[in-house]
Amino acid sequence: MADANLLFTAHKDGVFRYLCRIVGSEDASELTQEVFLRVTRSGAPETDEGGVRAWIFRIARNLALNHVRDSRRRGESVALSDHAAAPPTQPLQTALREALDRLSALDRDVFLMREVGGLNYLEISFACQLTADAVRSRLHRARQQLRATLGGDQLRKHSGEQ
Amino acid sequence: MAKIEMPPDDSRIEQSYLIVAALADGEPVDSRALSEALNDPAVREYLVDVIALRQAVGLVGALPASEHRKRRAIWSAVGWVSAAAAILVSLMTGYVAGQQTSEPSPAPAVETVITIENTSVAPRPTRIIPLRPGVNWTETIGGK
Repeated sequence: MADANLLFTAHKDGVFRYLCRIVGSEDASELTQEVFLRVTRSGAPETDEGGVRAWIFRIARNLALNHVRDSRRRGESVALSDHAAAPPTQPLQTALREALDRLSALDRDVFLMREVGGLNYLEISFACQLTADAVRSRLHRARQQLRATLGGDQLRKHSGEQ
Repeated sequence: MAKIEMPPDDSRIEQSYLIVAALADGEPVDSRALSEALNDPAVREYLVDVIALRQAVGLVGALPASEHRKRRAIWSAVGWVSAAAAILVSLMTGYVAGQQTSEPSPAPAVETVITIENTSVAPRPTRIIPLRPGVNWTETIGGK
């Protein structure tokens, strides 16, 4: 079993950023802890680094889905507070958040796992229980939708300012 | 991961996008297919947008946490200032109310100065009454 501390150090930032985009920053902190609590309890599978990362993100995704479902059941809005927190000086960031929220949940998960978590197609396919081709297709669809929403010109104009 | 081949069908254009996306994502790609895909200006533009999108997304996850903390800190400061203002207003209100409802204060007391002269000498008698034993003076036991 991989050392839980090493796994936490290696993956906590990626998991937190991924969860941030789905449940908001405050709940993401708690969920990240919960993810690694489960990692510690159950022990990482005997696989390579990519397999372990995919497994951790699968746990994170399941916890996030449960959290969102429970929040909706309670009538709470998830991550809306973070939209309000966006400073007006960063219109691209605000637009990007809104565009991400307009994606289907699965497309968004695939996109965020790739761009925020740094997972490769195979790891995403394991984490989201999809085929690699489906991952490729959903990723492309998400990107096209984001381009259409944000506008390629706006993206290119602001990318150097980040 | 299998390399992405270009199928000879209508999805050829779509495959060009997938190939450059795979390149951007660090996935293995067929170099000949990549070369052909990059001949299309729209595909090249897509590749640029994929990278730009990645740069933009990089800050999205990190932003809410810091903003949330900042907002919470601001609200915390506002809370303390509000509490201090409330206390100040209460004190001022109490003071003003006390000023308006209190009874008029009494006139200042007249100060009377009594000068006691240094009288070490008894005053002179104005009348002398002679006391004669058995007549107007009776001696009793114990001085009573």
